[in-house]
Amino acid sequence: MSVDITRETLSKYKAVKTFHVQEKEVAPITSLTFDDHGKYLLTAAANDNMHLYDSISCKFLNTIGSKKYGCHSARFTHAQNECVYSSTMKSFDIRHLNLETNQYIRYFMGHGALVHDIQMSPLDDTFMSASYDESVRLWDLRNSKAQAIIPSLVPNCIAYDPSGLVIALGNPESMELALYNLKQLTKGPFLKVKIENGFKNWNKMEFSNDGKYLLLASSYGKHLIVDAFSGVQLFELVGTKPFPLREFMDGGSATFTPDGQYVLGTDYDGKIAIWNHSDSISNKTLKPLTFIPGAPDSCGRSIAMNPKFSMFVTADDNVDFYVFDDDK
Amino acid sequence: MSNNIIPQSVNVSHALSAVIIQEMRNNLDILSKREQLNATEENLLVSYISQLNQTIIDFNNDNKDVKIDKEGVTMADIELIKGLTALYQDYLGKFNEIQQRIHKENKPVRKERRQSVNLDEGVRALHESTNQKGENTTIKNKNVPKIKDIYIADGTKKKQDNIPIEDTTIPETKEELNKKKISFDKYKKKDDSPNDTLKRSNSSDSEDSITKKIKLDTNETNSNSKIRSILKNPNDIMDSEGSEVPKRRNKKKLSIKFPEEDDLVRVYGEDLPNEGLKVTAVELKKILRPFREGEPNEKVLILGFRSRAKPLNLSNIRVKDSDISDTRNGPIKCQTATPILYRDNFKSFSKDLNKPPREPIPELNNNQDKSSPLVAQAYGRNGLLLRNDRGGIPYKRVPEVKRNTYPPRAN
Repeated sequence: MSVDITRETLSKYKAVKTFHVQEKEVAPITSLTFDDHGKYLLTAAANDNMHLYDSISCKFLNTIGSKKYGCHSARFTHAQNECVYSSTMKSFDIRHLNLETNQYIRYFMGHGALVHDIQMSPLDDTFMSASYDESVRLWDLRNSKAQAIIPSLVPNCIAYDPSGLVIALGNPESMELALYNLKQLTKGPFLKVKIENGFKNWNKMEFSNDGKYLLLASSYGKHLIVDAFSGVQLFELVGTKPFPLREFMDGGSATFTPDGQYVLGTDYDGKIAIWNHSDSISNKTLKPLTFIPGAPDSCGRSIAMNPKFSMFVTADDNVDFYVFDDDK
Repeated sequence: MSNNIIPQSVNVSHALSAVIIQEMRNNLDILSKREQLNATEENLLVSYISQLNQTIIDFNNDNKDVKIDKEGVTMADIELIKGLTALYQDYLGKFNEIQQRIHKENKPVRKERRQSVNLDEGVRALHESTNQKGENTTIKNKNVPKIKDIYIADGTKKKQDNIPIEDTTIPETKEELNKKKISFDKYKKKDDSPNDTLKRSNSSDSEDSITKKIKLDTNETNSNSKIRSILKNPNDIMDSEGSEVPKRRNKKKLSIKFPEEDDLVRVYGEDLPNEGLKVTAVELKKILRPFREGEPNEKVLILGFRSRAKPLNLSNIRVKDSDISDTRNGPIKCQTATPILYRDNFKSFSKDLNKPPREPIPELNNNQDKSSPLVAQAYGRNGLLLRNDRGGIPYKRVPEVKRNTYPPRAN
């Protein structure tokens, strides 16, 4: 039996499990990712460990140690047994790891500073990385050298549109973003957008799966939705309590639902906010439709929704699992 | 056939480089001297065998047309092919020998089958008999059936290679083993005061031991007995005359199952009340299995939650006639080279993921690719980065990832 994505069903998601490490190992979880089919969740934390979970049964499966190189921004490739992640020690190479053999397949070399975000193309075996070395690079999984470089001030944000043919590059401090056609990178972006209203604290960009919207998410109580074709600002999502300021980037405090009709966002009051923009008139400030109670004693700053199953996770020190539960 | 002494027709694109051959030679010496291999060395051995097998196949395939009677083929070509093939097969044979030798030596002795035991009836019988005797009844009451020694498995031991360690605390020789002391302070409850004042002291000679003995009826070893040893089949170890019989080899290991009763288990030990600490089976499991290094502890927030996440209904939102990839619910098929076996329903994760991964096999063609990446046109203020003076833009410090110092809630 499958679950529709509606206001009613979203309001029935409940916090069912929390995973927390020993006190001496507590460190922020800096990335959350599901595989293409939503079967597994992979987290990376600042204690140099990645954790693999079965996301359907909400069970912990494995620790993937990376004490030698550190780990950040881990992402599944299109294979459930492979991931790429950035290094925080020894070098700034991106590492391609086979989770079946526990052997590295390849190192992607070239970045000169921490890679703070990696995004996998939805279309093929390419990916892009954003780094503090003031560059965004595009890679092919089969080749250790970057295919393309885009100069970019830091901090910067990256996102693929759902076709995998267009990428968005954002510069929050200069309040601008641009869209590039991947087949015509040398021509520059085909669309440049200036963000209005002084909104400059966003740390995540995400296209909706229907390709219509681009979300600029922040941890400071406000998110923006712009039109993915024209860049026109459509909605301002408010109504959540901002988290304390923090410089380093994480998985982002808001995300689209897989149908692109709703946005889920974390709140420093310990709740999960739900906004519905698809049924709203544009150029509006939207408040949450409703809230989901958060996991107790947990401060889930980042949020990621499963692309195929009725569950999502929040994370910071702990990982909290929320599942649709219509049992009364 | 040409008499040229220099090989000209051999395709060496899949041949192993001299560096790799030298590395294999060095490691062959080392591995052949080892009586046992650790996980890294075993993995290296396996990777070498796999690499050699693949090289032989690819090299022979590349040169299948290089024959004596072909025009342009020299004796040197034939000798080179034979020499390289012989070299690879020689190394392959030696690595295979080492692997076989190691596997032979490492064949584990099978432990006995562990029977799943329902202790329910035995402990209930124990509880009822002690209650019938009123307060201050001790476990050594004569009316309590005599029981055999059983030791609760020490769950604090770490798993090795993700395989639960065979319980070596089975007292075949009744030797005490040093066990990790666990503090039960956090599980103390002030109002925990049962009627009976049973106290069991740790009878272990070792200070660190947390073994606990439960007595079973030694007279009831026949098939009518409802209580059996949870750790070994006594019939396998001792026959009726008390002489040892060889251990059986059994693969299957059955788990212990506790029924859901709050007063089933009472724990005694240091830092605990004299009357013992009443815990449920689930709590006991958590006491005996504290955190493993690097692994999170699970806390269930909804009592009895066993549900699995249901699939989302995404069929009505598929955007037809669009260029959206199917990984995002669109109609365009994802152009990945990943085999279908690994795209979905994969479950064979390595059991050594918590150990450092092996380094990648060096790529042979790396140095040949001298192409530079394409530089895309920058936009907006990013264009200043391409100027010599960076437009005066300062370098940004990479922020440090620190542990959060703020409380989990705003209030």
